[in-house]
Amino acid sequence: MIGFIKKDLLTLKQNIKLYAVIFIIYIALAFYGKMSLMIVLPIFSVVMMFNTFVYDDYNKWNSYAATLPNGKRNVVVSKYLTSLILIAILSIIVIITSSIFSFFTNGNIIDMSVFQELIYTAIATMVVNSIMYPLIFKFGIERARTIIFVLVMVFAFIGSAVTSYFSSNYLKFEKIITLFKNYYRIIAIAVILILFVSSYLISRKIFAKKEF
Amino acid sequence: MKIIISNSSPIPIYEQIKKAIILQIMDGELVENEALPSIRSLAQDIKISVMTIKKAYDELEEEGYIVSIHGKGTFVAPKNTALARENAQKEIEKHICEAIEIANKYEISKKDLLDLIDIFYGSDC
Amino acid sequence: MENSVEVKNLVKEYDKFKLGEINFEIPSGSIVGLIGENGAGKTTLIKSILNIINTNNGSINIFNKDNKQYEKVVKEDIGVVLDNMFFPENLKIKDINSIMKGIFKNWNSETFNKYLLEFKLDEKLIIKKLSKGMRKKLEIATAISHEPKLLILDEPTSGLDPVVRSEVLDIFMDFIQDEEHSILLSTHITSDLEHIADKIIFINDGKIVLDKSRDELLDNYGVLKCDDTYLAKVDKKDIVSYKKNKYDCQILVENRDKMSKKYNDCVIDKISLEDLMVLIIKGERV
Repeated sequence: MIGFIKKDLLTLKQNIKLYAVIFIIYIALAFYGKMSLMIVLPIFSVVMMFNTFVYDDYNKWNSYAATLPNGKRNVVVSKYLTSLILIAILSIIVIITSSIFSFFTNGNIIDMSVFQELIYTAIATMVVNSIMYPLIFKFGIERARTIIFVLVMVFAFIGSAVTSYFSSNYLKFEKIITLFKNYYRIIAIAVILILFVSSYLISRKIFAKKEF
Repeated sequence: MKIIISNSSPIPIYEQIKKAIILQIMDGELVENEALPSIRSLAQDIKISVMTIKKAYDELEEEGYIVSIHGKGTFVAPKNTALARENAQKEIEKHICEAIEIANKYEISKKDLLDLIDIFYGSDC
Repeated sequence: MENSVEVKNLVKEYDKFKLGEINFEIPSGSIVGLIGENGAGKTTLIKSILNIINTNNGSINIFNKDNKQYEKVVKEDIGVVLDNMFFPENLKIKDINSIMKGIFKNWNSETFNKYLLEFKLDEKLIIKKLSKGMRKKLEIATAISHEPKLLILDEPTSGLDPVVRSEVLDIFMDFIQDEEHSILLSTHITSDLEHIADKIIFINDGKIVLDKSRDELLDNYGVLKCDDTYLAKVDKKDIVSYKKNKYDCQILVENRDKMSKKYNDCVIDKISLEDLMVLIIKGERV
């Protein structure tokens, strides 16, 4: 399994310069206040993982991997773990960068609000990954790409509809919201863990049935 | 030890290997108790399948040219003149049969055939 | 002799193709060549042995263990080269070393580096930059460096020039110096196998047509070359199959020595695997 994770990280390492350049552009944009630095986390981790899938697919790595000891299982496990590792690495980079930021702007090194924001972003990224991976394992990266694009559109539509419904009927939901106010962090973490693990199990099942 | 194999020859490869080894034993190039290469290493060196070499070795052992000692390897058997003679006779018989076949085909009499042998015996042919 | 692999009653069905029933063994210490046309089922058979496709019936034992139940243990001892399936090609050669260390218990970096040196492969090169021959050699070096007992190779020599091919065959001969080691390789370049394979399995349209030792096959079969009128005179039971050409007629016969005595007025040639394949696939039967 370690070998499989290494494979993905080494694949990414080959393009490290390109990623670094894009990262610097994002920092510049964030510095001039055009957007939040947090966006780096979901964009980079999703795009980078996507690229590992593309490379795998292009060289039929999965077929080769299936012939290795515990190959089928490790292909799936390693993708989920690599995605977590990436989120961790990117989080550290974001923390360091924003610390430097805040040091120059207001003299504080650590801004607690950054951590909170980071956790929410990480959770959101995990949600995206949890939905994406089973689709990729099922349909392959090429077809999954189209499906994911359609899903994003649908979610965006539903999301905006739901938000507008919420904001116009805020009073009706106030009670429920106050009820959960104290627990929402725990609930969010529990939900994401369940989602992540079940996504993994589904991918395992899909991949075990797959023929190469 | 030398082994030259012809791929175009109709003679099976294991036969060619056998013949090459027998010839060298007869010529004294391979001497009594000399170790032969192992089946696998010979296979590797002449790029011939292991089973083919094994077949050649098995037959050589059966015919008494070589002995294989388990765990030690294969060696040239002590020279057995009676055996060598017997094998030589078999070889001659085969050729005589062929000669007779040809003689019959072209209606050459037994006497003419024997005369031929008389003429050639002693001369370099 | 023990068997490294035993395939029993194997069946794999696709919509338009059926493999099986297949029965055969790979004796320990031997090289078994799998030959047949493209699409005959060689790759399907190899994939079934590796358990990367789901079979419909039958059982496969590798080192006397079921290949599904003991998949992990068994695969620790197998080295694989598949056609066009390998590492992502933007990786460097040396990356393979560090990746494989995390995959096989017995991965031996020294062995791997020894092969790189032998094959003149620079570890700093990116896989993408390798020529076809170099890439194949890298694949073989990768397959062999965890000290496997069984090598399974799908078309390992296709697309290679004769020099590289002979280097590759050298490695195989070297590998089976250990009597516990064995090799299953599929190919359509039959000349590679003519000398080094101990056993040849010929598969056509999903079925095994021939499963014989190399000697039995090449020393036994022959091709009788004659014209049309002679064909009519040949004993029907002596004809395995025949093929009529514009100027001559080729008849595949068994027991070459006996036949050349029986039909002593025509040529009976030794047959190459390639011609044998053609005569069996394309030849007509009586």
